[in-house]
Amino acid sequence: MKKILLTCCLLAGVISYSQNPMQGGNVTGNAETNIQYLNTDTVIGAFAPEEKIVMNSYMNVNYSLGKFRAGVRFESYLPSTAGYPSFYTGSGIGYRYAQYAGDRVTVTAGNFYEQFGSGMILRAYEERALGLDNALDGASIKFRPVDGIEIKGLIGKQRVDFADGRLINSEGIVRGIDGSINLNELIPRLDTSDLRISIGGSLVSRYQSSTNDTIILPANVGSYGARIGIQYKNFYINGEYVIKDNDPNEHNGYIYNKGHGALINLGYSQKGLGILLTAKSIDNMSFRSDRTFEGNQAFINYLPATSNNHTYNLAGSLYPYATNLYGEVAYQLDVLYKIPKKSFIGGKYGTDLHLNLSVATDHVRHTSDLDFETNRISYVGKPFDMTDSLYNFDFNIHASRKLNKKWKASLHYFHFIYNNTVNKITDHEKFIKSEVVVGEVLYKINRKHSIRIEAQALFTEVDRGNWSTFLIEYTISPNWFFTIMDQYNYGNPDESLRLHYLLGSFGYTHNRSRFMFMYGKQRAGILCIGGVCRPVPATNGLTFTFTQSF
Amino acid sequence: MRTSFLILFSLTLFTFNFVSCDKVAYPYIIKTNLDTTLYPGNFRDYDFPTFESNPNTLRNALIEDYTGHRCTYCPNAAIVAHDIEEANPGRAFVASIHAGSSANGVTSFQEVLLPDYPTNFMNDQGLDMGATFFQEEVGFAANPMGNINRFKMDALATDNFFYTAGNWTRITDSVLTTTLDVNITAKSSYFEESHGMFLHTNIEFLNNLEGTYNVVVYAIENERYAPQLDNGEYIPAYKHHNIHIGNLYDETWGRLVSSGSTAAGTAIRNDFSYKLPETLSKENMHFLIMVINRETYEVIQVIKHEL
Repeated sequence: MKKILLTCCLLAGVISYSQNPMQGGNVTGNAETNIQYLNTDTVIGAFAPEEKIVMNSYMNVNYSLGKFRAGVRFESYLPSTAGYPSFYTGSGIGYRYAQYAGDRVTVTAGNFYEQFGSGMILRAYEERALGLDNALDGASIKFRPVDGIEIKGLIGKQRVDFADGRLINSEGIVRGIDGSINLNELIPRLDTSDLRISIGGSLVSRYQSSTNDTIILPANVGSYGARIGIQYKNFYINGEYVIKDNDPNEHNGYIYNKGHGALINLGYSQKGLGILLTAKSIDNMSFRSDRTFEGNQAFINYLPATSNNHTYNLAGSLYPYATNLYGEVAYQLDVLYKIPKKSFIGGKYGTDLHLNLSVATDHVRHTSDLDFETNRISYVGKPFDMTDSLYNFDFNIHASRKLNKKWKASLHYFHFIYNNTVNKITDHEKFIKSEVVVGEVLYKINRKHSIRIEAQALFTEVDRGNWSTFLIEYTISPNWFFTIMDQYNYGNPDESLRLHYLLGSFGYTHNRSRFMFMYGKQRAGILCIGGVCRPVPATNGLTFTFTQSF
Repeated sequence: MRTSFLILFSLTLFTFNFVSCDKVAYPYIIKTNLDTTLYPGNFRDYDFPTFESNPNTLRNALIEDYTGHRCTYCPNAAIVAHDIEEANPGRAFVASIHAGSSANGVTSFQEVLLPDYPTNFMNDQGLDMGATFFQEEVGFAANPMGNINRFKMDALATDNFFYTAGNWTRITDSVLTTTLDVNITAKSSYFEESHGMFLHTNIEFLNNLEGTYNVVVYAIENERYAPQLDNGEYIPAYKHHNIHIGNLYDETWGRLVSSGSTAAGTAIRNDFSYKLPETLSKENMHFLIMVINRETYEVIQVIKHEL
């Protein structure tokens, strides 16, 4: 009888617990729609598809109830917008998940994104502008047994395709485990120490069956790494080193070399000054969930770029540098300095200076004492073993100053040396040297109205010659903006291609809704985000973009 | 909590580490039909032999003596076969095949009969040959009978190549004088550790030939003492010679060498592996390597190979 009563009490408790939170369920999300009406313009190389109108559309819907969350993302590509990966077709659900997030444990089933360390060993992420989405589909557990320790474990297949509205996962299965320890959180007496230390380690493995009848392909390919972060007062250093075991794949020509990745950041920061030196060495670290894939698909890991992601279009989309997946040694220096306000040079409001220098070179491939015919190891690579074969050089300096309450101005200078033989993006052979100068002013007409003018010029003696860009933007806060931009390839060696690319746009924002229209010509270029790039074709037409969050 | 967590985590890491990666030291898949497990060590270190052209111009003879341990007149035929071998050293070789003239190659002459005849001399390939030759009516009517290179002597019978022992000597003499069409050279490696061997053959076509030709390898046990009925007398420790104990790769008719038109000068290599029976030493074995016409069964050339 007591047992029956106890069971009834427990059941009543469970029911009351499970019913109460139902009243507090919450739905959030966002939507984005891009529609293009495209015209054919053979002069600039723009071609309209047979459908004339193309669309990418997304909507994320998340539901949360207490510690439980679930969500889906609807996607439509009818068909996909110009330059977007052609394997995105149809409408359907591209992402769905359910998650319980407790105090110590978070468990996710379905799709999820994840990153171990810097991402060199595992990074499942979405970069929608690139058409890159390598979400994992499986299960993930995060466990924090005590403060200062976190363990992550996951197993899943990776999104590699979205065909006819159907999410298509990789053939390979990704398994990973990652642990990180924050010593200052773990050991109470270090909590107030100026010395902050964290360490971590990761193991990631891909399983893909093998059917090759010539070579033995490893079905299980492992990658492992360790990382450390140390901070002492204004100084900090963090580094990660990862190794990938033999991973013969389409991209590397089915060699059995080991791969490595090393990333070191050394920094100093104080008020008004920040210095960051980054050193990177990668070799044969392209790691995918399907060994047969190339391009931007099926990446398990992410190889970080060691150059600035430039926002001015002549600096950012003509000769942008992408991480060389075969391997490179790269260094970058970033110095941010604010000349104090009310000083002779700094002026009344101070002046922000930013200097950035990055260089990427090939790495040495040691080929002596190798027996390729036996083990298919084509060379041995060592960390930071650089050659004088330049891949990319990027020097840029920026100065921006608020002149008074109405005016703000900035000047920018870029110097690029781009190795177009290694990372070929145009027809020109070998190096492309270019310089870009940008001037920008912002004038606040009154509290709501402002006008921004941007003038850019790119100078190069090769490829398509000199370019200029002029942009004027009128903003009525917080709802409206109007922009006119003209890019002019005035230095093209072929006089018939000295074209203007005139583009007008305006946008309207209302609460959480944003509408934008663009009409005109856009030149072909390269879109790079974080060292990952995709070509963008020339277009001529109308683009409508709508975003909404809720 | 911390201790149990650390144990759990260490076990997870340990397990994961072992399943996470297949390290492949030798990526190339070896294209061979050899049983590489017989090779003691890394098979990639095995040196395949090379062959020079064989200057031989003589055709050899294979005496297939179809026999049985309960066949009372079979020892007489065995003596004839042995004499031919003795008379033609290095040119004539004997295979004593324990098979009879029936649909499955087994008659009471070959069957085990306890307690007097406990030894089973039969094997699948021998029985298959016996059954085939019986069914194809090539003259295999009883034991003892046999053939010399499955060679048809027109003067005796048009379609037959099985004869009683009384005919074997003159047929052998005739075969030994016919034109040689192919040469066989063989080299082998024996591995003490596995009691296995690799056999490599090089077959050279000396004349233009039409038809389908196979290479067949008999495993032969040199001698064994076992009961035999001999002219009505039970011999408990009869000395059996040249006992056919099977074909390599269990292939009754061997494997293809060439088909259609084959030009003179064509040389074809074949590799065989074989694990010797545990009860036999390599000294008590040899191999008969032959090229046969797959359509007529005729043995074009045969050589004896010892380890």
